[in-house]
Amino acid sequence: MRFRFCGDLDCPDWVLAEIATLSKITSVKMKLLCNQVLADLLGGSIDYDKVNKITSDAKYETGDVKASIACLSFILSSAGKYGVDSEALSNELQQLGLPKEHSTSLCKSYGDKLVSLQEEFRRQSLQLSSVEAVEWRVDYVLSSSHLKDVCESCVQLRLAIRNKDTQNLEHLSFTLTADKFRVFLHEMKQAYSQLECLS
Amino acid sequence: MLLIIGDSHKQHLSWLTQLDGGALYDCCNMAIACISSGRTTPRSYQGAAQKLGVGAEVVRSGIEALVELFLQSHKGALSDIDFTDSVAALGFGGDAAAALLAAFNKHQVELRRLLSELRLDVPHYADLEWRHDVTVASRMLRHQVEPTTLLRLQTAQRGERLPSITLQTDPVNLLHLTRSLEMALEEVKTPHCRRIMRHIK
Repeated sequence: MRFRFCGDLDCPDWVLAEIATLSKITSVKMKLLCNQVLADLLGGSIDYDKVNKITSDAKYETGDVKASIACLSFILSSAGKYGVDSEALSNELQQLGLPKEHSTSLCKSYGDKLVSLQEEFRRQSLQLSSVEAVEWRVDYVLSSSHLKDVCESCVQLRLAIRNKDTQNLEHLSFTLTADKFRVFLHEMKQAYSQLECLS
Repeated sequence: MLLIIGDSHKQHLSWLTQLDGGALYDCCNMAIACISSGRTTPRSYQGAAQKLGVGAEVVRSGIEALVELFLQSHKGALSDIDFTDSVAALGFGGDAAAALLAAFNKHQVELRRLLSELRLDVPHYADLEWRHDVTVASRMLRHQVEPTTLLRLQTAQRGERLPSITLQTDPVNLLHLTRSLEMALEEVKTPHCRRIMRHIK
């Protein structure tokens, strides 16, 4: 059976198993649990005290709590990834055995947050190191230890680069002579014009 | 299979054979605590030395000899009978042998887990992120359409994440990569592999 929210593949077995666990709580509690998981996916954190209060009625053990959070996390992130709308998600979840009220409340929360979810996923997509700031300074060299009259201008550039691995801000400084800087600027303007063509 | 123990090791264990079951069990617990924490506690050795009426140095070498005895037994995965025979060969009597066996069994799971963590570890897979790009123009050539895939492979060793590796590939190479990995997975289902796995289990 192919499901759109799984990217047109089979639903994983563990998700099927956990849907049975999720059916044990009421649909109101399901909505609250969904909101917690959505907050986590959007960059916040899960309030485990609230989660324990929500699941205490259904007498979830620690393993059940973890499994239901993992299951909801998978369903919501996978549906967001493949851009499934809430109605289609609701149908597919009911096919998998989730009761109608639970599917409806899950998909309502999902539908409300779909746009923000996709924005967050776009932000989290693979990125190489990025330039965050550029500083420059123009100098005029009068003389040096090698030559009495130099009289040349040069540009000092400092780029602030965010390393995606370590999340540290690193600084890259270098000097360009006037000619080199002209070439550099020309190339950058050409690259920019290509960007303009695309957008 | 009996343990083979060196002479100096036997010497260090010799004074322990004269202890009764209770005192020997306490010494075993000190040895296990020493293995679990990875540190020795000279103060507890002093206390034990005073109680048993021997020098602190003798106690220290005895505890370390017990540590070595337990580690060697767990390394070889000795059964109860083999362990009892080995300690009997070292001169431990009925009560003492029973105390050693009790300590051996009680901490078996924990010690085997500790020993398995100390293995030779190579970096292993932690995470893989990917992204599809299309190069539309470059400094040397305009108006191109070159699909590429950017991959970031994250590996980990002993629970610590190593610096990630960024890779780039074109569609043909990506297809070849996935085909090779799928062939590797299918290899597990061949009769040869199945025979070996059945034999190991």
